[in-house]
Amino acid sequence: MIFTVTSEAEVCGKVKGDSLTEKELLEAGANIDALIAGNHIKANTGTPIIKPATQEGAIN
Amino acid sequence: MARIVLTDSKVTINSVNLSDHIASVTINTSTDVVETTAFSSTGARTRVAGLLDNSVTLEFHQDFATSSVEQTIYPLLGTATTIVCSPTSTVSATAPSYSFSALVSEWTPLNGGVGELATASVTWNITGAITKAYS
Repeated sequence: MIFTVTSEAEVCGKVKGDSLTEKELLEAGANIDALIAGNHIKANTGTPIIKPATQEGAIN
Repeated sequence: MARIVLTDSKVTINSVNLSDHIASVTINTSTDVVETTAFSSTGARTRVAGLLDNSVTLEFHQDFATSSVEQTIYPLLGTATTIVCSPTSTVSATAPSYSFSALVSEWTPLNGGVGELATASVTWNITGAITKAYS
């Protein structure tokens, strides 16, 4: 999961608007629920864009 | 490193840099003293070091703004949280960082008299060892 920093303070070395992965937060020993409760980060809930795979060597 | 006057110390709590709202930081570390005195001709007590016992004392400038001190600490009450402290904002070969997990066992959301700065002074016990690192 990807999170966006919404805090005015630095979070995991990142500033407001930067992205943080769940892995980065967990490796830093962060309590993610407390960071969300404290308005430091918010989860990105957008649906990822999945591009269709292109077959190598395909003939148009 | 020469003698140091603390001006640019860094303290992160639950990965949040709250240095600009912390006026004092003290990491306390000591060991239990276990007595091993037995009958001996020396007539003196003997002792060995026992378990390490660590704690951290912080003095906060209280701030109720969004994503500031109150909103950072209050959700952590009753939990163990990661704290990283260093004497300067940049860790170097002569300025180490100290990382540990502290039990957030107390908090004073409102403290101060008329005309005074609202502050919160806490001492939290550290659970486990302190990791000291240089860059």
